[in-house]
Amino acid sequence: MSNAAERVALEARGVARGGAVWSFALRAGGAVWIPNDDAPEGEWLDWLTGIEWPGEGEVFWQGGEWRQLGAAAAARERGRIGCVFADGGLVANLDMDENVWLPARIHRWEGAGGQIEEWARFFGCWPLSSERAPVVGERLRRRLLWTRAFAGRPAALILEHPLVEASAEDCELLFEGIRRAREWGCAVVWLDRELPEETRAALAPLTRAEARPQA
Amino acid sequence: MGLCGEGGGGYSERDMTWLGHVGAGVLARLGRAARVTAVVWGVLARAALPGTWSGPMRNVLARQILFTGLEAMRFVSLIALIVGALVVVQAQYWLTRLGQTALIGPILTAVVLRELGPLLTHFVVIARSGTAISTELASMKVRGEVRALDAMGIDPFVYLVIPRVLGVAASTFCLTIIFLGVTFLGGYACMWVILLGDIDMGLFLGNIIGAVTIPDVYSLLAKAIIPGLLTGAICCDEGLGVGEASTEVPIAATRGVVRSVGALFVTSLLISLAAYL
Repeated sequence: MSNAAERVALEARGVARGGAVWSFALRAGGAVWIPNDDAPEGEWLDWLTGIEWPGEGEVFWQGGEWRQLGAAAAARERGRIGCVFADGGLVANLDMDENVWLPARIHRWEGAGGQIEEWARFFGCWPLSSERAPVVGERLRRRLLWTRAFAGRPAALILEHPLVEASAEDCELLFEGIRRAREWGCAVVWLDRELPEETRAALAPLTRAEARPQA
Repeated sequence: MGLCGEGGGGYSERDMTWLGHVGAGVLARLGRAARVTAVVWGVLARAALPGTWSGPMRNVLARQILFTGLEAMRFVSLIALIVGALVVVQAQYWLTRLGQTALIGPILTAVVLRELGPLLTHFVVIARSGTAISTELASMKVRGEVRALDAMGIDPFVYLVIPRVLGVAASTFCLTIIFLGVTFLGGYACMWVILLGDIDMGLFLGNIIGAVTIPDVYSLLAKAIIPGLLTGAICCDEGLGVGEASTEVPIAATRGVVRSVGALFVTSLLISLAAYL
């Protein structure tokens, strides 16, 4: 565990955004909060997963810069990151169970069935709904997104406003899920405008990504 | 500026602007053609790799074939039946006057197998599936679903484009064959009615098959497959080319249809020129 904790999972160097320059390094099993307080939404998630590159600065995944990876290698690496999207995140013309299974089947995760069932039971959404994504309620959508993100033992989790209008029960479930994930060395990125005190306490030890004003 | 000088016989600035517009239009079309060709090439190259065909990919391919091929079969058959009857009625009318009724089979082959069959089948496919693909992909892009797939390490080109392009091409090929078969049957049925049953089916079909040449076979194969690949690629390209505004969705659908029809006519013409000249 000590070796894993030494390894930097995600790193941002001199990323310019919102009139500031951001730099942080997130180790395996660590957690960082990025105050995501200006539009457009989703920019950080896109940069951290390497699907887009910041105009200034670099983002590193497992020690390598996203830009240096070929398309196939980058896609493979993204398969090791669990994402929870603020809006959408689901394919509308697939059933919910197909949505949850999609990355597992594409990346051919070993033991995916057991892990999906385990996390779906943990988040209270087992058996998986066979309804289409657009007709599923927000609470169930969120829980299914969590199930998909946590299954497959991801090396990192990127959570984009994960608790907007969530109940206390849902908050507790997510905090406990994150605690378990960090035990296997999963790095956690929390993207939110503000972080209440109880959330900070639940995610401790948590670092806040710092920025300096852009020159 | 030398060519645009005031004196001498050079081109005026207005001429140059006009030529510039024409040139820019030609370059834009060539650029689009190159991009669509690259998409088709990419689809064929990636589809040949054994690791490409995961379960969800096969699922998307099956759904595409179901929608484009199976669900369109009845409509295509109906059109084929009517086309067969129409061609036979016209051929019978004119050939009887000329005393050449034996040429009905070869005319049916020349008109339907060489040109009309693949063209009409593609029209149906473009109208039904081309619009559906462009609209679906554009909506997915606007709703952020494509971004979500990308973030999960699911290559949208592999998951969304490859099965759709191949599904459309395979379905179009099968529908073209069905169209031809039903047209010939429709033609035979029409002849049977016109001649009050005084027609031998073996002779009728023998006439048709006897008129088919080797270039006909190559031309039919090319016309049944290549425009289908292009339709799939163009509609995917237009669908995924939208930005974030939902107003771009219908524009993408219209462009997909118009460009697919254009590509269909151009490729059909080129294949005919290559096969028969």
